Parts: sequence; structure tokens; C-alpha cells
Amino acid sequence: VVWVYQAEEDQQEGPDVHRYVHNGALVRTGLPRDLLNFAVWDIHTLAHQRTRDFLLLHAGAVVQDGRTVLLPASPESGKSSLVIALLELGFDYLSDELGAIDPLTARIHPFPKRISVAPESLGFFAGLAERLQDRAGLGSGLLKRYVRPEDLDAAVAGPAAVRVLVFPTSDHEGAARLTRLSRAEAVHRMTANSFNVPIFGERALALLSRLAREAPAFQLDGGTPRERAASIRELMAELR
Amino acid sequence: VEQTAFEVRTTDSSFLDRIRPHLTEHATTEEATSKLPWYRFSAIVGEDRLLPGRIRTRGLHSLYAQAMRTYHGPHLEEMAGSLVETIRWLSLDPLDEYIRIRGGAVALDGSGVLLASPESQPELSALVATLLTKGASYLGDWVAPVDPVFRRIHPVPFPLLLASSDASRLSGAAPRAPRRSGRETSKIPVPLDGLGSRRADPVPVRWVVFPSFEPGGETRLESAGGAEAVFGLTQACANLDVWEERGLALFRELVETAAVSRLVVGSPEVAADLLMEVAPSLVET
Repeated sequence: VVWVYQAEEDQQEGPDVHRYVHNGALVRTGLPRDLLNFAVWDIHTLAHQRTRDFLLLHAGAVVQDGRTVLLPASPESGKSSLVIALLELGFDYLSDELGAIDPLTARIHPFPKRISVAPESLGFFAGLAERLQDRAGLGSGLLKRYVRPEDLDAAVAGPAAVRVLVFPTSDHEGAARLTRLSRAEAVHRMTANSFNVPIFGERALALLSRLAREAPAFQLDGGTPRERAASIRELMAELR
Repeated sequence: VEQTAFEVRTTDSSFLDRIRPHLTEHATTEEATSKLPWYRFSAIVGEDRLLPGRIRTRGLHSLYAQAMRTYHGPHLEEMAGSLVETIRWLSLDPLDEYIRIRGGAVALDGSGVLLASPESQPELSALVATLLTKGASYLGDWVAPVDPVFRRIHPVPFPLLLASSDASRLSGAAPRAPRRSGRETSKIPVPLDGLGSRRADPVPVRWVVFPSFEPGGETRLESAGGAEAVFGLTQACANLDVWEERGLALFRELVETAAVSRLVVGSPEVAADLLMEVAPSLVET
């Protein structure tokens, strides 16, 4: 797959209209800022569309002492903010978007990309916006903010087994609270947040069942990202 | 098939009748494939001609995959084989949810015999077909997809492809095709029921065999070392670039849990008998 960002002047639409070409096909025209944001989205989408050697969940994932906290959740559940808060607490990074489960070992592999958050989400993390280096050059036109693990003194971890499954919800009312889920509910929720279950079929269910058997599952409601992260750190301490 | 749509058009509908038995299970509706990338095959069926002087020339047929010609010759069965071969390659090549091993595979009493072949060996299909005539069930004759979750070999959903001469030799069970001189590269599709066999369900790998072919020589089984087997599987793996060290881990596991042998094939008939005879004891141990 080749992405071509063509900046030549468009004869009909003027000098400010650019073209985004994907595999030789014109996908979109517009201002450079719009096309760059579209390209970032398009490339990330392609990554999970093309991947077939991992079972992919819509999930954040962080590691502490070689043990993974997998955070499957639907979009807008605050996964990325929660991952940032967990990295602040010393966890290492696997992903803020894709939980890549190795079908051979059921370990989670890193999907290292910059953590993308809405600019207003940085309000939860005082001082972080000033430390980010995502606004140089064309980056000044990006709509989202992009956080590198090293901006939080965290590292990208290697593949690690899942220790606990935490399902953050979009309910942020009240204090952060964890509620134990059954294995069946955990499998159901992971399946609902999977990108490529149909490719693996019954093998996906076997793999997700193995995860639910080996790791306890919790629903996480309420709280700010930092409060949620603190509750997960306490949970990990209890599970030692 | 596997998120790719295939369309076949032809100048003679009898060619469609010829390929239907092999591909009907994949038939679908235009609506279901409207959003898929698709390949168009164009089959031009030639006609015999009578030239001045009562000279008869055989019609030549051509098959195009998109704009690329993949067959040109006088045999419709071989053109059908070329079509099936291209479709199965396009369908199976993207299947990276499996660790794909080049070679063949059959199931014997619920156990998988993987005939791993790092190099392309045209004789392998004949060995697989001979095993099928002796009671084995079909898993593959070109690639064997190993599922990484259950470590089972899955069957490929296509007919066996055999060299024309092999198809004729196999007791008339397979469609007959004209004999040709020299080394044959074209293959014809052979339905499994024509060989008295059927497609197997997914089965665990119990025996890894590395066949090599010495026509006319002595057929024999030799023991193979674990490291040699892991290396051989590494060479035979069609998508090791995707699975990398995870593939190596699986191969080590397979070699530790399955029997491993080299097989020198002087005669497919004798080799098939030998495999059928030895398999039960090896699979048990």
C-alpha cells in the first residue's frame, strides 16, 4: 500500500486544495490539515484491517512487572486517557487502541503508536501538554494530541500474559469503582469489542475463553482517568 | 472466497459446466460480493478447424486472470486446472491467521500427517492422491494451513490438482486426460470422491514427514532429528515473515509432540503403502 500526498497545485480548485491518493486511487481532496488528519485515521484503520495473525480487540493495554492489564472498551470510553494515567503510575505501554492477542500463546503484543487524545482530555493531566512534541511542522495541523510513552517516562513493553481484564465504561459519575464480572460476560464483552472475530471463528471464542479463565474480569465505572488508574494499581497489588 | 470475489466468463458455457463441480461450494450472489475486490477470469474456448487439404487443427484455449494469460493449450481440463490453481493461490495466500506449510497433508483416523516440502515438488500431489485412494482423507496437496490456537491442520476447500498422467494412472478414478510427452507442469482438478476419499475435518499434527522424490529408486522411511525438522519446517513455512519467532516456537512444539521422518519416494504407490502401514504405530507413540 502506498500513500501519496500530492501537494501540486490543482488547476481547477486552486493552490490550497490537495489530494490524498491511496493505492493510486483518489480518496479525498481538501486542505493539507484535513488530509493529514484523514491520513492518520486511514493508516490506523488499515493496520487492523490487514492484520490476520493476531486476534485484535478494541482495547488499551499496559504492563506492570510482566503482567498485562487489558482494557477492552468501545470508542469514547476513555481508554487513551486511562492508559496515559496508568503510564504516569509506572506501567509500561502496549497500546491505547488495539489489544493484539497472539493466538499461539494468548499473550498481548505491543501495538506501539502514539497515544491519541482529544486536546481537552489533556486537561486531566496538568503540565503534560507543555511536554508534548507533536506540534512541529505539519503536526501543527493535527486535530488530536499525540502522546509518546517517553513523554510520560514510560517504555513500550514486550509481549506479556494477561493478568487482569478491566472493562472501562463511559460512565464517569461518582468515584472510581470496580465490579467483578463473570467469565461469560468477559468473553461476551471482548467479542463485542473485537475487530476480527469472524476470521478466527470458533478459535476466537476458545482464545477469549482462555483469557477469561486465566485472568479475572472487572467493570470499571466512575472517576477521572487518574482515579481509575489508581483503582487499577490497587487491584494489581491485591492480585499479586 | 476469503473476501475476494471471482468471476468467470467464457466463450463456451461447456467450460463452466466443467469447473462447476469443483467450485460450486463457493458460489455466491452478486449482491454478497458487491463490496469485495474481485478477479475476473476470461476463458476463451478454441474450436477445431479443418484446413485446406483436410488438415485438422485442434482448437487452442486461453485463460486470462484479469489481463494476464495463465493458460494456452489444447486441453480444457488443464485450463480448468489453471483456473482452480490461480483461485486457490489467491484465496489461500492472504490467510495469515494460519501458519501455512508448503506441502501436502492427509488425515488418517483423525490424526494429521503433514508432508512438508520446503521446495516445490510436482510429485507430491500424486503421493497425496495415492494416499487418498488407500483410505486417507484430504487436507491439502499444495499447502497445509496449521491453526495456531488448536494446532490443527485445516483442510483447503479446493479439489486436488494432479498432473494429467497421474490422474490417468490412478485407476481411472480421476478424469482421464491426454498423455503428453516431456515433463508436465499443467494439472487437472480431481474431485475427491473420484478418488474414493473426502475432505477431512481439522486434525492435530501427529506425524511430520519430509518427502523427497527419486523415481525408480528405493522407497524408504528414515528418522529425522528435531533440529533438522524445525529447520525444514522453517524452510517450508510460506508466511514465516508474518509469524517470525512465534512460528519457530510452534515448530519446536510440533516436533516435540509429533513423530518426525524423512521419506524417500521411489514409487508413490509403495510410499503410500509404507505410510499407511507405519502411521498407526507412530501416531500412537
